[in-house]
Amino acid sequence: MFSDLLPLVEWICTKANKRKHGKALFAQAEWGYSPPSGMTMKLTSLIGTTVCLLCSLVSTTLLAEENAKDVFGHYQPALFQIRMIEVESGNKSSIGSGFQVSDDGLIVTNYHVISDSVFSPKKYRIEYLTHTGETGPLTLQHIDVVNDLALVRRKVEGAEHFPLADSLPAQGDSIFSLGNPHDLGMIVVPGTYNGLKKSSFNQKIHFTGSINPGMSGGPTVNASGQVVGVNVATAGNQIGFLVPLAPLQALVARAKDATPERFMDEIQRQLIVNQERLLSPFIQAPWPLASLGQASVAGEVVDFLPCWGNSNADDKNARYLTVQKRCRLDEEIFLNQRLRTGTLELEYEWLTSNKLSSAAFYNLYEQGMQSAGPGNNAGKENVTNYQCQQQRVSNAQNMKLRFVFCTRAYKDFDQLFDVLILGASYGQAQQGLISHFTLAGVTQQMSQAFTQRFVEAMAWQ
Amino acid sequence: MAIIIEKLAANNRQVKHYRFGQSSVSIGRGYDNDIRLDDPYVGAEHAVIEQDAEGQIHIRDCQSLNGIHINGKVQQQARLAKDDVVVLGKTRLRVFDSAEQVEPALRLSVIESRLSFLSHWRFTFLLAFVYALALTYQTYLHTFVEFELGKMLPRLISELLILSVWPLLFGLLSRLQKQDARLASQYSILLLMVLIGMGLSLLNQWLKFNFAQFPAWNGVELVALGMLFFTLLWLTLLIAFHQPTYRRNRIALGCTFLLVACLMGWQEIKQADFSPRPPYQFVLLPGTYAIDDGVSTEEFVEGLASTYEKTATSRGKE
Repeated sequence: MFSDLLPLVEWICTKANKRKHGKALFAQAEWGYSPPSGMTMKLTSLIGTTVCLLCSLVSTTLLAEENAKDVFGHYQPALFQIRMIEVESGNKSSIGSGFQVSDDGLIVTNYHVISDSVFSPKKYRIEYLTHTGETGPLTLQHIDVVNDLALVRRKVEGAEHFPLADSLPAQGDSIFSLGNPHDLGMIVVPGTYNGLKKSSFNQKIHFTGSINPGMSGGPTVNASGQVVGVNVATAGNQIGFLVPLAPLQALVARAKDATPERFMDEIQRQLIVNQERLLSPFIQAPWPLASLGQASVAGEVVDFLPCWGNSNADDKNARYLTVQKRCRLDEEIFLNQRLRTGTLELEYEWLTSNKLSSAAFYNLYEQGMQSAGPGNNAGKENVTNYQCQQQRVSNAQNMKLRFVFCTRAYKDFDQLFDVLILGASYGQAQQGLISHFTLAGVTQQMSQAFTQRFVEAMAWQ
Repeated sequence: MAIIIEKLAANNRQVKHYRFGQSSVSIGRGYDNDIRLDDPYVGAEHAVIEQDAEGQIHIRDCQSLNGIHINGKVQQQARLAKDDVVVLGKTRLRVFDSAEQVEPALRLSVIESRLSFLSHWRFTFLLAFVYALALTYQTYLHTFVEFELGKMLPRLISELLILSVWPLLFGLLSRLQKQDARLASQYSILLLMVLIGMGLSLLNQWLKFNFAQFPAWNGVELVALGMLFFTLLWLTLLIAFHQPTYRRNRIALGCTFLLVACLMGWQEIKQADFSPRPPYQFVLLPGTYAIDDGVSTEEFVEGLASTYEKTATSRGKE
């Protein structure tokens, strides 16, 4: 159910590496792309032809939308393929799309398209490729990691650029996503604007239309050619997500500010601001309680944290009953290929049995406590090992709990930690409550305050 | 004053020993010799051993085909000292005067006499029964579907077979040393130690549940494990071999040290490796086993700071 929002960058040469890391790097492994053998023709030289073919395709299928054709024809010079060039080999290592938003060369793309150059500036540089096949260097101006946007600049004067729309379209309006999927050449994908994604924390536009790897960072425009969003992710079958207008406008407005001296500091600052916005509702007041079996656990604190339930009530062979509630933030923040952050998980499981002896029940219960893991992907280069501590606690509701608390630090960001906690009540002979949360990319102060609320938000009924 | 001739095995342990009151002893494969060696490489009249008036012992080769090797050197005639090894054909001998002193007697270990009860098979079977009961009960407590006793039997048998490796190995070793295998004692000691180990691990569970914060826990666990292993090995050696105490101590200590060092090294390696999963082992017991109510939420949250600090310092290390 928690469909992975796949960033739409095209990672080219690192496919083999990703395999090694197996499931953890689910997203890109599936999208790793190499052209089919029959198509190993010179793709770049064919861009012109492809574009013409597409023009005719677009005009036949979208007769009603004359505008699309005009827009594409008119703005094609303002559309770019954005490439990460690996300095040593001089070849591209990943590609995405980008579009110009000012006549003096400001180009918007996704942060995840250019993330390599932020984390390994010596190994990678950024280049653009125009529709006519010209290339040139780009310099990074500003980033917005939370909304996955980046502003880069090319040296040019008075070039064609996309205007930004003043407002979002109405639900059901046709909008057009532009980009260069799988390095096949620039294309137009017609689709429907379906409003902002329901109950999301950092809002995204729900676009009904297929967007594919390589289209990351491309613009989505309305019928008059104004940008309403930026391609960022897909959840499969015609469900696409776009960064909406507001963060895009904010980023473009920052163009006149000085470029940050150290982008790593800037990332940390943005993550902390985002985290405060995310966690404040949890910290400001005690959490409302909701029942789970004979226990009371956290109810709905915020509306952007979707919860799912399950139990084994229909299993006739089971000698115990388990009821689960799992809440998970439906989005994460991409920092680089090996590091995601910004996740929040909250889970509870109530267990009871009148068929097992107390000792056997506690063994069962203990087994359920051994496999806590992080909620986000992070590699050796990015985080330290976890350090844990265990403690018995009795909270204000007089519930006796035993916790293991683990944290690991981010190597590049001196204030950020991943935190997880796993708790078990031990006061009752025949029932137990497992409680668990993980937070990613949080400060010590915020996560301690969160822990306090979490521990207090449990009681027996 | 008499001539002592010892026949030796390849490891120089005595296989057979002869004592002669006369001053001359002939050795060979012929039936007329004082010592007849059934060795095809030995001649019919191979050598003569003589003792002079001062008690010195000499050996003389009687022009045999393969000669006499003394400490690896071929010699026609030689004076023999106590430690010399004489080889005729493929037979190894040691020859000395009966006046030579033997080593002082080893003191019989007090422990050994106290452990005599272990040597009764009845006691061994009792221990095996207790072990089987404990194992069955433990499995029962870890079975969360219908428990079937019948399925337990193969498991019990295989566990006992695995455990048997230790006593059988040492039994075999002592047989090779021409001593009693004393299997009942070996089995009893092993089972006793395994039962003590099970008890200690229960105690460990309880301690971990109550005092998870105790910092040097790993060390204590290793020391306890080391002590248990040392005791097992020491007692096993005591039963299996006749050896002086200092030697037994040395062997047992050395092996224990090796085991603990390996475990520690393995832990270190595991810790140094990057793992995306948190390292912890969660122990959970019902509330009746808790010695107190634990800390308040506030104390708990404040106490977390030390863990943040620890991980923040490990950030700089690499």
